[in-house]
Amino acid sequence: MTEDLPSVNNRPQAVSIANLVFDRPGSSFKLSLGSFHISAGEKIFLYGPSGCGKSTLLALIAGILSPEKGAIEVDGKFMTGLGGPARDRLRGEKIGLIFQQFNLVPYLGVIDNILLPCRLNPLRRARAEASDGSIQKAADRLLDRLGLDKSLLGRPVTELSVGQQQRVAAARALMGRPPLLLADEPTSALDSDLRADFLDLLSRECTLSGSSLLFVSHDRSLAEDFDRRVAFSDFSEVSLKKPPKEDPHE
Amino acid sequence: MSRLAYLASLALKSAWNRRLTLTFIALSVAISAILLVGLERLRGQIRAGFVQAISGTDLVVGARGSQIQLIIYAVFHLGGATNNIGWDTAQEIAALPEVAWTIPISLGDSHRGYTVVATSVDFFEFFRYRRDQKVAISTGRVFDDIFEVVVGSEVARKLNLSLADSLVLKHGTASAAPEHSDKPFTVVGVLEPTGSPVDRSLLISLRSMEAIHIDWRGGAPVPGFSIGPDRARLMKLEPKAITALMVGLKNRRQVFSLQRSINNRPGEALTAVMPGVALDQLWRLVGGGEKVLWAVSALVTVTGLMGLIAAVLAGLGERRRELAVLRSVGARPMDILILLALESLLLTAIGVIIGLLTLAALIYVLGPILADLYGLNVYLSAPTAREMLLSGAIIAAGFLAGLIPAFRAYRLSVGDGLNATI
Repeated sequence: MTEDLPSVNNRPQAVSIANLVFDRPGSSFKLSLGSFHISAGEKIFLYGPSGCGKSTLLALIAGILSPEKGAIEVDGKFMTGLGGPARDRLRGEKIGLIFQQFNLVPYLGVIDNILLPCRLNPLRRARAEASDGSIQKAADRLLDRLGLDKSLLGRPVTELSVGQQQRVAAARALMGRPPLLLADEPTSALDSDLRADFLDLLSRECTLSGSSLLFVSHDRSLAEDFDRRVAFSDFSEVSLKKPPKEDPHE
Repeated sequence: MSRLAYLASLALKSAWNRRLTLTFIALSVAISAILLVGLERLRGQIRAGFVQAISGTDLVVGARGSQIQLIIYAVFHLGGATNNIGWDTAQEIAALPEVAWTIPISLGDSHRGYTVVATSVDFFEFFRYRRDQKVAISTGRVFDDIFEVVVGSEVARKLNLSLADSLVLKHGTASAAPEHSDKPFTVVGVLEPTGSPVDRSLLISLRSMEAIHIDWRGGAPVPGFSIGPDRARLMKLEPKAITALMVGLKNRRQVFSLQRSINNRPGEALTAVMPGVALDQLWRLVGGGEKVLWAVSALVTVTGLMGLIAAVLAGLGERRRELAVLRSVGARPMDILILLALESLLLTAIGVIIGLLTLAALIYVLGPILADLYGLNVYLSAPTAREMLLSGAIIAAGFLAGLIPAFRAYRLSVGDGLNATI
């Protein structure tokens, strides 16, 4: 391996956020956040009701949105203060993302979907090659570990079940061992009996690849196996902005 | 794999995924290509065909009148007949010191729609097409006796004529025109294909022409008066007049002075025409119509490209999620722009290729029909520089048009963030 998997102690924090203010003109709310950290390898369950701003926080950490104030570090690198393309590169290198559903590019096969991060990010590719020999082998290994049958590979991804699609998305997020996985309600489209399975797989694979996991959900029944459970409202403040013409007499 | 190559492969797969919709866009681009490149092909090959058919001749001399009419009638057998010039005048011109050779041409008769050209054996000696090609005999020989005919390659093929076949000429070209049925001709030679009007001609001697009209007056047989072929053969068959005289010079530089002196000659009023100059005049004449065709074709192209923009824009709605997924794995907004732009580029390129192939098929099928009906030679050939330029211009225009939805996708992918998927 060219890159050693360092022990948890001497690795930078996976996420470090300080004094964050997101107040985009035109958005309906303002998000303020004092301080929030995820240690390397730590698995965090972040819960809060729907529409409370959890997804916005993920988009900020992923560098897709930019805050008005404050600093975000991912794996020791500042996401804030970077230009758009640099944020895109940092996201590609450091972060695996799993969404609630529709994670897959419909015109790509299973393997091509899983290989996407490696195709677009040389560093992710290099890490996958370093650990598995080739990106194909890395994809095969992940498919195998996530219990995806080889017979699925030839099928269009749109014909997979939602559970299978989410596992393919997890495999993609894990490709090239990113330091941080962001999962935004990845189980809410699954049947209840599949949720625990998926969560187990995800957690196990994050441990194996040394990735930190920020798992966002409104469903607290899933929270058991995490290192830390955090209520979104405990460290952040979301203030709803008044729509401009709510009260004509004002 | 470089990033650009990877994006190109994504564009390809994405396009294939929506092939049904995109096929129709590609077809509309193909129609544009057929029109634009087809027009250029027609223009180029028809002009080249005209120029090549007469390239070895320095001057064409006929009766005073329109230069263009003289050339297209005497050489290409199109348009209205011109007045004749006297045989003695033609001989005087042939005797001028600057003149290397002359070929007399006498038109007016036909055989089943093909023009009969009465000329002398000098035609086989001196006539040149495509700069320096002689008209070669494929089978048989040059006409010698009267009532002998040498047929062009297409005439022989279409009418299934071979040596020793007998045929009857018709006076004029109208279908109801009287026939010279009393004096049948014998095929003595068949010519090699030339790609010029010669292919669609029947060549006879001036004496033959004289012989079949010897008992005619004013365009019709004289009633109750007939001279049989055997008697005609014995008569003096000197022509009194011909349609035109093709002239080759000893020194091409003298063409202007000879043209001037023929035009100003005392006696019979003549026109001496430089074929190239007359053809240039003809192209200027048809240039206006050509411009209209170009404008219509350009409009069809613009319509096709607007269809492309509309379809790709409409498709963006359902693709926002897909684009957000790409962004989530590290694609930059610029990658999204490139992806969309490549898709339009690919689409127009495929459209143009379909168009060029269809055009080739059309030319293959319709080329012979054009030659039959109008004597125009349009044939399959490698694309010319201008045709490549036109094809490239269509593709470039498609690429530019594709930038409109591409920029839209760029802005969406910046503005949407990940929300389109969440």
